[in-house]
Amino acid sequence: MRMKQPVIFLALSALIAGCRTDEPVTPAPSAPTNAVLRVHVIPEWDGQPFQAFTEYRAPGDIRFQAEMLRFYLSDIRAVSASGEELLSTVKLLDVGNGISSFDLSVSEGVWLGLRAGLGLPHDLNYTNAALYGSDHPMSVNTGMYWSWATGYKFVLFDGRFNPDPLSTGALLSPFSVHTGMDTCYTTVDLFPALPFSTTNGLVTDVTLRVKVDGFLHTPEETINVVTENQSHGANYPLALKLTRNVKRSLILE
Amino acid sequence: MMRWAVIICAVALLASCRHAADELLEPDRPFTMQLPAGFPAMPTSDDNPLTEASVAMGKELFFDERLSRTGMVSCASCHFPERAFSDTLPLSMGVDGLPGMRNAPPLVNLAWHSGYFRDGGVPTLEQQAIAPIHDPLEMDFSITRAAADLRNLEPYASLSRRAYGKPMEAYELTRALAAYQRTLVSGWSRYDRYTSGDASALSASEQHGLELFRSDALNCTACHSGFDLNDHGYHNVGQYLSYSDPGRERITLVPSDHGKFKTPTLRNIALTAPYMHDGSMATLEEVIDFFASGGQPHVNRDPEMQSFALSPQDKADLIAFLLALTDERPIDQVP
Repeated sequence: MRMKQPVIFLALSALIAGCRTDEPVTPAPSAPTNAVLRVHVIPEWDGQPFQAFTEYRAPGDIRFQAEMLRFYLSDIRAVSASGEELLSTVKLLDVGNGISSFDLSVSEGVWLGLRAGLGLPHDLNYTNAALYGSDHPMSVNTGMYWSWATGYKFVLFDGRFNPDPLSTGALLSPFSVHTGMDTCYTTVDLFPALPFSTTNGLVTDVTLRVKVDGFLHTPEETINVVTENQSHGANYPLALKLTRNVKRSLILE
Repeated sequence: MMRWAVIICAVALLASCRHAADELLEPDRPFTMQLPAGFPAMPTSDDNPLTEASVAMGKELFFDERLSRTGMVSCASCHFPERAFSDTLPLSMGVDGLPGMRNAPPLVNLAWHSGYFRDGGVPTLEQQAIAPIHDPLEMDFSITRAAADLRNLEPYASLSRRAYGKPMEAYELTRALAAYQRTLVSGWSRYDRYTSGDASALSASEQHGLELFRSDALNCTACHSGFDLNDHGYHNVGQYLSYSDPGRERITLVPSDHGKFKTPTLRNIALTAPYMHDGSMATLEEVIDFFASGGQPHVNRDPEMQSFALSPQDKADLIAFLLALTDERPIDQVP
């Protein structure tokens, strides 16, 4: 009877510990919890909440609706008077889905604003897309990977329009502009009117207004959806025009 | 009681641990394959070596219709083994019967290529595997979803652990498909026997066809050269004055690449009709007539494209030679 106990103990030990993984145990963080910067993404059309599959008026009084509208922000940094701090490698903003938010871990401090890449920098753009799981912003499931070519779409803007401003008919003409060459990658400075501060253990809220109407029209330039409605790697001037307009239409408050 | 404790102990030690289960698998070994005489060494991929398990897994995936949204389209649905892994249709039909964008090319000697698709849009076979699975006109599915659906099913569960030491995810799926496709080697035709010294391998008509093929007048070897009868370059042959498909320009955005497509191999050409990037020519006679015409005067037409004249007998001999490019043994070496 005495012999049974060690054997049973051995069996139970094997059951409990037999599936040991080689993953290192992460020690509990001892440093104070970082501050959190919560970015509320609010898409708008003419100052009103924007929704995909809702009819709006594009430049030229053209009836237009956006169906999918996504873009990458990468290399997101907080900018202070003394330098920058990298907060995130990449975020995919799907503004066609309405208001959303994402959190960025940031050090305590006073910040002038954020600086980010619109699109993906070269090295990130040409990583192996199959490496990313389905919940990663660069997963092939996002619809942002070109697939017939290497690399990603930086801005995906799909919709429909009716070329006749007087027509009451269906919006059948497709609008599909996808940017995505290295030369479409650009840096965006998102500096609010006043600096914001972050405190360890606390959440600081900021708002990123995405002026979707500005994607088609800014004081600097206009996309005529009737004549400029397709770019999938080719039609490079239109891709660059959309890139510039998107850059002008992101406002941090 | 003692007996039960010992049994529990043994089961726990042998079966409760994944590492122990892995050790029960047959160890993976390098995949050994034959190369035809005169072929250069096969380029290897350091992060995706050919092993018995990786190529077996790739072959299973290649023929698996569960890689498509409808569960009805596999790679082999458009790349038939008996057609040198090409299709018989000008444009292959994907899910829901929708036609694709271009003619499905034969899949042979891909290990030596430096760009895939007819425009060379992706540089590796691993990356190439993503596109047809996601293309709405082909399989219209998700590679991560397909991997998740299949990873716990046999033979994928075992093969992935043997080949890659972990369950299959998208990464392993692309690697296995690439590994299998690298094993599809074509180089065992009567033409190959002839060039290896067997003068009886080609008939007199076929030998005359080969002379014409190599002649300066026809200039076929300007692009169809080397062991693969393929320079792996991109050329505009003047098929159209105005191309609806931009070809290589789609990738490079360089206007001088408009209408350029990757040179196809001529190996197994008897099996790979219809021809050209859009499958618009049904027969070899039609193709030869087109090249004899010199093509349309497109601004990007390759200067090597020159018209030539062929007698009916010369044309028959040239076709006889092309038909001698068919492999005499299976292209697929994976059991």
